Amino acid sequence: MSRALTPQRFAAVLVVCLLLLAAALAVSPGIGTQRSLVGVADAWKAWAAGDQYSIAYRIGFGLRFPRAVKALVVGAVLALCGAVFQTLFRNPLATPYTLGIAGGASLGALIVFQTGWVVSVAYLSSVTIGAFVGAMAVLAVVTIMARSSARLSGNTLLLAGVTIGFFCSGMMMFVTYLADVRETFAIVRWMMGSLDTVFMSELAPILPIVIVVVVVLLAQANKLNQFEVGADIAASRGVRVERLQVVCILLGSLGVAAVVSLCGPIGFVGLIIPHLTRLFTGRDHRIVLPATALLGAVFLIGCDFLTSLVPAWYGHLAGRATTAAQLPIGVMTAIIGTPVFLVMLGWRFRNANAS
Amino acid sequence: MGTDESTILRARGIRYGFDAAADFLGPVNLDLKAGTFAAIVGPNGAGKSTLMRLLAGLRKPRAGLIHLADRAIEQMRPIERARLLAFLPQRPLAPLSATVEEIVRLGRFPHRPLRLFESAGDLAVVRSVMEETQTAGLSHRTMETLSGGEAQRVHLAAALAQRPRVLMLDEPTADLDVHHQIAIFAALRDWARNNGLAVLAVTHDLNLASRFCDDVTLLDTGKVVAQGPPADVLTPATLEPVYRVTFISTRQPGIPQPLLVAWDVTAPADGRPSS
Repeated sequence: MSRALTPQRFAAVLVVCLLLLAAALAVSPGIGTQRSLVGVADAWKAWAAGDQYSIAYRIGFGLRFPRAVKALVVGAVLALCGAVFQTLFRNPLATPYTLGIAGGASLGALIVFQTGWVVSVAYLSSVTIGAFVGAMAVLAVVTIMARSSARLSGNTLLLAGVTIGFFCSGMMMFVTYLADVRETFAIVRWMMGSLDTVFMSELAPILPIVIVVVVVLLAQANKLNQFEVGADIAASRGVRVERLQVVCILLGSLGVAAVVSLCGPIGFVGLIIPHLTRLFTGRDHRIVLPATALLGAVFLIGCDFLTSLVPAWYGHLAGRATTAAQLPIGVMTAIIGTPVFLVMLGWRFRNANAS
Repeated sequence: MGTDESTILRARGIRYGFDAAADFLGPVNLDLKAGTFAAIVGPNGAGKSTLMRLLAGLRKPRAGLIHLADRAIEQMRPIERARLLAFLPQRPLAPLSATVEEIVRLGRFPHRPLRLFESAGDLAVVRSVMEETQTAGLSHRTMETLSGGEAQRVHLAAALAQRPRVLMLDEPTADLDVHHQIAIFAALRDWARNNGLAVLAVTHDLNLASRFCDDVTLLDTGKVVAQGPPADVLTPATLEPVYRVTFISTRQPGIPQPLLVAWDVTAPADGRPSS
């Protein structure tokens, strides 16, 4: 594991990650709140039969599979942005949310939602546009603050971002406080993160943005490897460091804004998945970036399964019918993510001491 | 100052400044020749590191010309410059979990900016520079397990893996014990002689500079005080006003250079005479 990256190992890791993702997508039509009705086999049988009007097909491929695809996109973008930001700010705690961008996006989306402002530009819904405007406003403030200290300094950006994040949380509480009971309920649920199709734009319009973000960020892998040994060395080896920083921050923010507009602020994926990935792949960005995107997708799909399975299990144990309930995804990522991450950290610590 | 064809880097009339002191540095003229080892010396804050970054093309001088292999350095694309010139800053960061071989391989980046993986040729260069720097035995060790001297050899290997014609190092022996200081300077001189490399190092060690370097530039508050062979530049008469310290110069049988020992402070750091 501590050897330099070879094309063979690169391919092997990618194949494993792709297989995991394929497996998660394959079982996705069979897992959901209506578990008792349609199993994995039922769904795929209906698909094979081309019976688009059967209940199994409509539940499996009309409801569950699109959710999994949405989880794939969201998980991949959040994890990839987290990995890039951690290197860019030389801070293992950096996430897509540390810069305050997700806070700005959430606030923007929330304000649009509350004011009932409806507009559509280039097929993007008003909530998406609100999220973008919020994210970019935060980014502008953070960048102006950082610019005033001559050069882009990682710590200045992080400090500014965290502070603005608090401001956005405060503003969101303010908006929530002004809302009536029913709206408050909807807002609180949204802030827990949700992959439901209600109260959010569809996936298709933001997909081009997400694809550009992922492709461009993946293409920075070699430069991020150089940046890791110091901005001076990277510059002396021909990397345009400021351009690298601007490209990564702008596109990372764009990707996060897109994802937040889709499903609310889902925390934790951007923090832990990059760290988990590095435990298996080493630190070379050429493999870390694609692997972290794929594993982020797998992780979020898995968490989404649990959001519907856990209430069902609970209902089974408690003898109550809870099959229709579905937990917010943000709850699940944190509850599942924390213990998994701590176990992995401990495991690595023991291994590091043993060797 | 000769300008024959062995000159790889030629700097003329370099000036640079900061907000408060726009004319702090310069004018500096400096030539680096293939197969030679040059040093920049001077007190703290003299502008040594700044001058080196200007010469390395990492900062733009306010005035003056820098030619690298007969091309203006500011008109070169960074990646083209990186194939000719390697720079090692004072304390390079190294991700602790990275292996020695990974760090050295990074030096090949300027030669493969668009390829995802190193070619067989890249790996051959990596192997050979690891032999030259005696880091081959460390290749699978992680950076966190290395001593200061070992880590510095690894960073040198990465810089050499760029296969540059000019190698610039900012205090390559800071934090190293005397054994490693001498070993690094001897190795730098040998690489210059044997491979036709032009080496430029910022250093505080006047005896190492005097023993191993062919040319020394003495800098004080941004101005060149003296420039030339170490025997001419590193004398008590030129050094004492610059460092505000008395120097004892002694000769030992069998050693061609006089040895310099800094002895007594002649003025406090703010420049006023003490008596």
